[in-house]
Amino acid sequence: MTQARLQAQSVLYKTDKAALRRVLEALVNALRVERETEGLIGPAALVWGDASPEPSFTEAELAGLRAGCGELLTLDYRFFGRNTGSALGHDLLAQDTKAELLLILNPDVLLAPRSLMLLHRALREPGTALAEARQTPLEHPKHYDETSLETPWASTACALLRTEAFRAVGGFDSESFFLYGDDVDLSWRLRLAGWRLRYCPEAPVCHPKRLTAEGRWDATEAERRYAAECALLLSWKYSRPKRLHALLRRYAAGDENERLALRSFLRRRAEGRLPQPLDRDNRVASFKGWAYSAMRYGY
Amino acid sequence: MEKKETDRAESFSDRLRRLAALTEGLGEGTSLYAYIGFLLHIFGEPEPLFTARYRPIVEAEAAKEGKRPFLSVVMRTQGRRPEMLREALLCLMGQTDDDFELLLIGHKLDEAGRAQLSCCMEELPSSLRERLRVFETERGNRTSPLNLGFAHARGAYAAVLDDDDLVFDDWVQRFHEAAQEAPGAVLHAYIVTQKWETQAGENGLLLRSAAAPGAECCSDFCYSRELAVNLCPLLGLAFPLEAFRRWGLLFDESLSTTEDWDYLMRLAFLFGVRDIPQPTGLYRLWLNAENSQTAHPAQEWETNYETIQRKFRQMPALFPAGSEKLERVDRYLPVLTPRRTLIKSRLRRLTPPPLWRAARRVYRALGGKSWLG
Repeated sequence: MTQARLQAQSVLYKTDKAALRRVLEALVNALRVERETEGLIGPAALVWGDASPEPSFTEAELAGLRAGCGELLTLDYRFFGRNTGSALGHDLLAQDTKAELLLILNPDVLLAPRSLMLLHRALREPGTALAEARQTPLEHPKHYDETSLETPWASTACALLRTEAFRAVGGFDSESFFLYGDDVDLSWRLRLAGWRLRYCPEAPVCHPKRLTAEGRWDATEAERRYAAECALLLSWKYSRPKRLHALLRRYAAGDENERLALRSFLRRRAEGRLPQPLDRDNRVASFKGWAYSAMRYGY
Repeated sequence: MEKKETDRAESFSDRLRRLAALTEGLGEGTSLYAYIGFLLHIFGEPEPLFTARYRPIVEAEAAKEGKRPFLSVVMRTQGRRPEMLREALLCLMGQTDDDFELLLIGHKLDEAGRAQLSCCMEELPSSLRERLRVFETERGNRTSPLNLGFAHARGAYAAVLDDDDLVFDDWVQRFHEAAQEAPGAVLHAYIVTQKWETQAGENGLLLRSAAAPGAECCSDFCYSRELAVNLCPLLGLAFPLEAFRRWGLLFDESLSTTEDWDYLMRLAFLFGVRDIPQPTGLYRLWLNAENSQTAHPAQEWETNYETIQRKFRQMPALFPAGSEKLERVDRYLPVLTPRRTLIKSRLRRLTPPPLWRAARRVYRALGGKSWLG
């Protein structure tokens, strides 16, 4: 069987270098395990796109990191010179790849040794465009089908995609999304194009998260702001006028992050920069409360 | 370095001798006499099991060259749940502080379990494999692997991670920071609990969280409460290894469950506890998979509970200054007496309520005549 080429890619923004070294080692190790077990992934490259104000690595540091990759992986580093955000960063990194497989990876996410192999196994199922890893220690509580393991949307904290499917739908919508919601939008456009998204509980990845002393997840200010903006954009883009109006009213009387998100949305609308509405008959987009799918439980 | 250690040991012996001398002036019926006797027993000759079985291992490890890590992570496994073991190991791969070693103790492994374990080890990245040592034992119950792991441990502290536990990336780091702030104390981190379930899948067992994390084990260590109920999951604790190495303080191998609770309390009253008020791990409560709750019958849990409670009752306990929050006596009154309305009305008239006066009025209200005048 022909081996598939892989491009793994992450967008960095002032990312801790020690964390990146751990991520790199875990990826090289996952490639080794895949090679020794199934051998269906061939040449592999990791591309780091750096959106930080200053380059995160010197050439000497990069040379040291590349030496640690051995023959399993080539490491490419691109300094963007501007804060692209996640969506545009990934689109830029993916635009010239010749790899058949695209691994979208948060810069702080570690692959378990067998996870790449298992993601690839799931992606080979017919009609599947994307295989999403299970994040640990805190799993995302979104609903998925327990029998088919299909998911209504997939997080791209760690997801393996067919590059052809990613390209066919135009990649991430970087005109609309900066940091959050880009993966929900990508998921829905893949499904609109007839592709299937597969959740992989068997493929864990370590995604560092912290809880408060009360055991609650505490979103950062940036997360709150971009989550609010994303809620407005997705409601517009996926043809849910009632939900959009409810959100506009709510954010008008909301906290500072919500008001910032509202202003940004209204500015886009005034400038004619809102995306073309899709899914007018509501086939794929699902909004449950303020979330994008049913949740098994709330935080 | 060795001389310094010897000096410290002698100084400690001198202190014990001075302590013993104090008992000469004390009546044998005093609490202080009993407590000093308890200390002399604890820090005197170690248990025969330690001397016979574990001291030779401790001495052999001490003789080895090489850097000693801050933390020895002891992980016991029977190799029967590889999916969970792999995930626990993944959490260790992601630690922000790599100053730890990993001791994997295979307990009563069958051929399939040994093969699974071997497979999991071969998959690990080199940086973790270099810090890994694997041991096997056929002996005893689930407590024996802990003592074996502690005997081989080369760190300053030991923490125990079961093969289905999950920890956050700052688990080692938080222990390390707390140990620097309170050297030698038992370290206690908050731990969240979460219900999980399993499902059969084509590629093995699928694991799935089933509820939001719970915070019932996210509170500061409370000596008096912990004597009655164990609210400190083992993965949130790190024990100073000197307690094991120098004084042979072992996990009680007669206990087949809650051995960690017994060990925690015995050490807590001697070494104190340093809280880490931040969740650093996730204790999984399995809804449909084997766990210690299902592996041992209820009667066995009850017997072990009674044994531990008996040990606690027989153990003199020194509460560190400031460790217990003293509460107003009236908080407990409703459960003490049916005459609560009367007592509450009397207590309300106390402004301000000095504790002794409140207690006296309560006592009188209950019908007492002589206490406190």
